[in-house]
Amino acid sequence: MDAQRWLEQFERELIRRKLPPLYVERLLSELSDHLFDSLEDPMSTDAKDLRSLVQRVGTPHEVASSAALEHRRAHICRRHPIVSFVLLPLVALPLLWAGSLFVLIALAKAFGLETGGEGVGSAIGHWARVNAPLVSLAMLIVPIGVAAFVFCRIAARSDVTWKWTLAACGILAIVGGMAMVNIVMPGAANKGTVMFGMGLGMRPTEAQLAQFALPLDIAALAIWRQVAHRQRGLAG
Amino acid sequence: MTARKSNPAFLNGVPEMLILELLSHRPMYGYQLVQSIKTATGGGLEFGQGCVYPILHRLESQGILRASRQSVGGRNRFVYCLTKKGQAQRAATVSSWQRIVTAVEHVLQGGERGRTAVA
Repeated sequence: MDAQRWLEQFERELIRRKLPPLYVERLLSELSDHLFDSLEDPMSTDAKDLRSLVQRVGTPHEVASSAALEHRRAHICRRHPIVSFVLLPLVALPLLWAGSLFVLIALAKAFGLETGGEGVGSAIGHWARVNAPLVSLAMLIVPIGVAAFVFCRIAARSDVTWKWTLAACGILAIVGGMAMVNIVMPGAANKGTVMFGMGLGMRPTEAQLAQFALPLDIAALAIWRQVAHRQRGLAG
Repeated sequence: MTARKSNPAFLNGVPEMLILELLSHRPMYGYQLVQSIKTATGGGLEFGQGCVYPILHRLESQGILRASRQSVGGRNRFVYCLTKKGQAQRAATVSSWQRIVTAVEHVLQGGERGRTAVA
């Protein structure tokens, strides 16, 4: 088997194992350099005997098996993509919402904006009442954006295919798009309330559309960057 | 790395240790590293050379190695070097290995029967 045929067979073995294209390109590039270095190296005995060279490098099947094994070992997300990019987003978003609600309540208490608090009639209290819808939206959309960004980063770092990036952000879009929150700031005569719910009517609100679109936009940007990075890698 | 038939199965993890040790001396690209392993071991260990690359990639994604593209010998190559985490990993791996070697040698040389050699 000559070096070119070895590389072609190796590529087929890697593709058969469904390794990410970027990883396949990287391996092919380095193994190609390795084979040609061996053939060109005047000090190497491999240069004289191609069969010996292939024996030393390993068969395409052996090297591809090793690559698949190491690739799975490299990152926990690669080993468990369903947990990492399907189940984890489902859990992460409610936790982040709970965290943002906690921060909101803590801030309200810090400024004396709880029911009967001294800050209710102040300028901050007035600002909070006027901007309550904006605060509601921020409380929902910031965690969605943070979660989408984090999952895209994890996907990029663990070198999984773009489908997992899309899966994670798709789930965040669906769950995030269904969330609704209504904050009523305490006034002189009324108690402050925070109502949180999930649901989707025939006509989603503008806020829900934004909550749905944001993770998908972040995913599109991440996938575009991943593709651009791959093209740079191939060109470089 | 898939060990060749000439190496026993308990050598799992040894190629990784050799890679860390050799890269602690100087950054190298794949072919250089394979040649260094060959030279440093006096040809005593036989590994599928192609299987070094998947290990390098895993170590890189674990933050143990850093790869950068450099033009070497007219080719644009991935040159690997140890990170701080890699230096710590190398020290830990070498220390464990030396402890194991000492313990096994102790047993093979017929040392104190019935007493635990490894602390």
